[in-house]
Amino acid sequence: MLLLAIFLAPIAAAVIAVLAHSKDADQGAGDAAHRLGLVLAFAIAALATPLALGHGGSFDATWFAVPGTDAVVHLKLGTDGVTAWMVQLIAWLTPFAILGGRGVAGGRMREYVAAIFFCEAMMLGAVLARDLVLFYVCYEAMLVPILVLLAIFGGPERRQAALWFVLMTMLGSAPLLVAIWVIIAQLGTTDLVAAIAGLQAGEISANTQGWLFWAFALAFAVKVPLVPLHAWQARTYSEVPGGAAVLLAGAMAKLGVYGFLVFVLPMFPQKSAEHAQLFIILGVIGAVGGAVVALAQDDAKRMLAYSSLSHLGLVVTGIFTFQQAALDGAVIQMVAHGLSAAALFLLVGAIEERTRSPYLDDHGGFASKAPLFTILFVIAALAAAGLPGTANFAGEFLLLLGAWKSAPWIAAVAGLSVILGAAYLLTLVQKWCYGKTSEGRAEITDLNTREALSVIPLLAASIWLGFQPGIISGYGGKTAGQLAEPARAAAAALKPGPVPAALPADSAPAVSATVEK
Amino acid sequence: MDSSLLWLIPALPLFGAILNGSLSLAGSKDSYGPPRGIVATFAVLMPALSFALSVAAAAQLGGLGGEAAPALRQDLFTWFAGDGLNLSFGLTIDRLSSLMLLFVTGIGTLIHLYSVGYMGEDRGFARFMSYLNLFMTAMIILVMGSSLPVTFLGWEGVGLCSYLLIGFWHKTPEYADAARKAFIYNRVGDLGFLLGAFALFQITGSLDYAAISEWFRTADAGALASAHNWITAACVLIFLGCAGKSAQIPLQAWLPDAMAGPTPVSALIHAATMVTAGVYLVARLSDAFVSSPEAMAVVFVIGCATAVWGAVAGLVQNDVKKALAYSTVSQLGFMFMAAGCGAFDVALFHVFTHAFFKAALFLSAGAVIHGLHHEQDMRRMGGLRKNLPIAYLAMFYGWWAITGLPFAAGFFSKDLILERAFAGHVHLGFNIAPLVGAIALATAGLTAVYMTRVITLVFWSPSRVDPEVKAHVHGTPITMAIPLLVLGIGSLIAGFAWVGLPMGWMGVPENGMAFLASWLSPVVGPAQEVLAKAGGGEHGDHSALAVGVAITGSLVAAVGSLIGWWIWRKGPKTVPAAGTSTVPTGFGGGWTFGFDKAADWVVVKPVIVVAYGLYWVVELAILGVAGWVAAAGSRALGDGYALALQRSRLRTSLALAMLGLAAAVAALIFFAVN
Repeated sequence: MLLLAIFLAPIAAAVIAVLAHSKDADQGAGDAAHRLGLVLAFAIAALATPLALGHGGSFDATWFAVPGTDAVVHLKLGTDGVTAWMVQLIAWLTPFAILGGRGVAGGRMREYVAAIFFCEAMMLGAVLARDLVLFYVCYEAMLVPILVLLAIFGGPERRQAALWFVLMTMLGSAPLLVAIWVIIAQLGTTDLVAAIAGLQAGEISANTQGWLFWAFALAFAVKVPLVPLHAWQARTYSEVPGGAAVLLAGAMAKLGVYGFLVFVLPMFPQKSAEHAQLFIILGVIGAVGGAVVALAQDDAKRMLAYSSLSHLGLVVTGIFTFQQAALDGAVIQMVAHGLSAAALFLLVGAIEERTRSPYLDDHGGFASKAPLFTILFVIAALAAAGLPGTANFAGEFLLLLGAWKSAPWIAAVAGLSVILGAAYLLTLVQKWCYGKTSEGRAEITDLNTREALSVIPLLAASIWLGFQPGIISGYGGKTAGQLAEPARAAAAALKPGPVPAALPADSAPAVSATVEK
Repeated sequence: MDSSLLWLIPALPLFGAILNGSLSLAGSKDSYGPPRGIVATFAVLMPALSFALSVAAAAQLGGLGGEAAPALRQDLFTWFAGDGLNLSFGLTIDRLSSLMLLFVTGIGTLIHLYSVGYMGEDRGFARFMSYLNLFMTAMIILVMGSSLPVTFLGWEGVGLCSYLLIGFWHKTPEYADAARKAFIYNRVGDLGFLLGAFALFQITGSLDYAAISEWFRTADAGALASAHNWITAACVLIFLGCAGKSAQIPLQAWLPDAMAGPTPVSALIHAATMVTAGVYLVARLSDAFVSSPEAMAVVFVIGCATAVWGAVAGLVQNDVKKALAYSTVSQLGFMFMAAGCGAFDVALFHVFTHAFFKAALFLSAGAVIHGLHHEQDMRRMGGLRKNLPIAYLAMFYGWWAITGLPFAAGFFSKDLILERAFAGHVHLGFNIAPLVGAIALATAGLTAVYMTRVITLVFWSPSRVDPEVKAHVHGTPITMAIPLLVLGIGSLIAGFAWVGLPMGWMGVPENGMAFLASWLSPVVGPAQEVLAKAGGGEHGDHSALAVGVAITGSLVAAVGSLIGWWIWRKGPKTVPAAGTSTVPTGFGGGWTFGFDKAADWVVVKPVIVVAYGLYWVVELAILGVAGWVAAAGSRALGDGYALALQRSRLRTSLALAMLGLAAAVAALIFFAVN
């Protein structure tokens, strides 16, 4: 029941927010909707927190029968380590998305809050779903509120952004729908566990499984995004308002990673193992290429978009090495990148609200006029760059360690993104915070209390998790390991003989890795 | 002291950093800024307390007042767990970290005190002291970390503080550029550090120093031979990290630019402590390094090349701080030379003496710059002995020590490096040690030339100071004078003290280097024994060589000093106007900026070309055209579906999308049923 409550609560909150106040144009109405939204969002987050401790159970109810088949679609919800941490990320980022929207939404706060809650509900539904059809419905429906936010609050290029966003997402999700249909038709079930069992037992021919694998992988590769399916990302991220970017970049992009972990690897272990090398290479291209292209950006939001491409590329690479360390790192990095990306988008959003310009060359000298902004911006940028002591370091460290164990060249090449990350993020900090105020621009005011409070908890959480990453990896990483186990076994079977790193580690005198207390 | 108190040593300066950071932020709107007395008190007190605790820990290790402990260790919490990685956040003080801690916190405290006088008038005083305290925290964690990741936390932490402090006066764009350059160069090295750590983990199954050393000390020949290539890779990668942090070729170009930071920063971070972290790490992993002769040769050759390059580039600088910076690069090269021929204890001895004399030189230069109202061009100095007597004294002692003239600190440590280089067995097809030793001896002569040039131009040559400025030279306040004198005298006796230790004290009977060697032997001793055995049995009697090197070295230093004095005794040929660029040109510029130009052409420019190329060609052109084609196609097929979007009829298009979906589902069901 808890899971159902978590799924339905944001929908209820969206309705409440719409009913909050009828006068749209009134500034007071925005305030009421904003406060109400905040209270509800924090309440939902608190409701979702027990999941991280392993609570939650499951929920199952019959929804409808698929005509013409034996399959019955269930409203089936479940949780595990990966799901629980995705739920934390979504539920805890939502209040900050609402906080970040206060400046842009103004009197139309009701629409903003309602769209955010609807988006939250659909994302929660997608990660909690243990039924393929339910998952698909939520996975598609979460686009609608993003399009609404884009249409009402988006930047000047929003039409083009919406076009790209819809086109590319459809490109991914249409084959997914077909694939789900084929599974229903051949296995007669929409249940995720049953589908996994059926697929692994070979009840669908290997040839068909190959096509199904590509259909699923394509849908999630668009979402992550994975090169070369990333064209929508920079265009969309640079047009959505800062608050909505928190959900889009902080949480929604991780659903692609989630899809690879929870659907692709367990459903198609054999195909995942066969094509692992390709996804590792695509991830590395994204990690390094995204970081290189970020250097060429003159728009902060586009730079952050390419930064996301880079960081999540590394996560996909890590997942397809099937190494436990990398899987731990992947789950940690999903949370860590969510926190740092959200903080950076909120801070860039604050500047954009003041100056109407997200461009690097338009600003300078914030350090003297806005010291609080500068401190938080520097910390957020360093977290994104993976400075030790932040959760991002814990994630990247484990991802690269896992990659090294799989094959040292992966870690060596992907590691270049760590150097480039420092280069573009420090360039951004330097352009905006150092030097002098640009000609013809007014001095900006420092962050107000609301803006500061919308960033500080995210950074504090990042630092806390940077020293205690085991909180995430102990539960989330364990689940990820179990989900990847069949694929790991399949990969091991593909390669008889020792794993690439040809060092006979076992033949050397084993020294206990434990430390004397 | 109890080992459960170890966490206090880094935590105290961290508290100071947080306190001063908060004060700085709270006082930023206030026209007077935060209360300077409180800021100064806490900023100096916190590292001083850490120093006191470090002394207590060292006393315990030495067996004063009880049983001597081999190491103090505190495991605070589990940092990483799982997949064979069982890593606690551990702090350790053993003989090696104790030595580093003593001078890091001791000299650190003195430089904090100096900063109170030097930076007291600056608007950002509290922010400055907060960064300095944060640096102390990171440096202490670097030194005390009991595993590679904990050290890495401090390693990147000191890099961050270095970044913040180089760019402290961030309104000048060049300073901010220098800060970013330092951070990125260090990041290149840090990737090496990480990959090297992974390789060591793969070889030994642990990231903990104790376990890594244990593995190498107990591994049999077969295991070492089969892992040989990986050990070499691990050591070379780790050394890349050390080259970044300690400014060795090819990652040395950031350090001279780092002189943009306030002078106490140059003294503390870019001379005495942070830049020696690379030497520390090599010594810490000495058991791994000696297992790979190839890696040792790399360290040895790179150290020698950097020593030569730094000395030549230092010879042609006009800015006093730049001259000292290139000197630091060169001296760090000497340290790696010692480490590369297996004399880890000698390398650390030079780290120790260098910390004193280079801090003294920098602080003295700072006092001169402070006195002359921010003049840094040596061509516009001269004859300042009377005006700045304390600064002169400190620089004189520092000069004495670094040139290697008899009985000051450098005489002992540098001569030992030369001696070990000549006696070493570093093979690169043939034994390169004597050749490198000869080059090192010549470089020692060059060191005497460039340092004498500096002190001659600043103090001994006739005055070229603007009469206007000369009439208003700032004196040296007491907070600056005390550190100057302590460090000046320290550079005189830091080497001598070891020789003069009373016989039999603390069970250390021998003279000279013996005390330090026996102090460090639990950490680096086994590695040095491995090399001694590999080098052909017994390490023979070197006393003849020692005397020979001492005499030759002193002669070279004396001749070099005389040459330096003779050439520049009358000052430079031309005295530039105030505000003229100090950047060397011609031959000097070539030496100084060769590596910058190479990095620019080989790395920076290609990356930028690729970045814009990828963005314009792939992102905008190819994907843009693909998107346009897709949009046009869907418009033609979808009967206005995409067109509707372009007209911003969002609701219509969404409805169309949903309809399309429903139609697709219906069609599929229809086909499946039939």
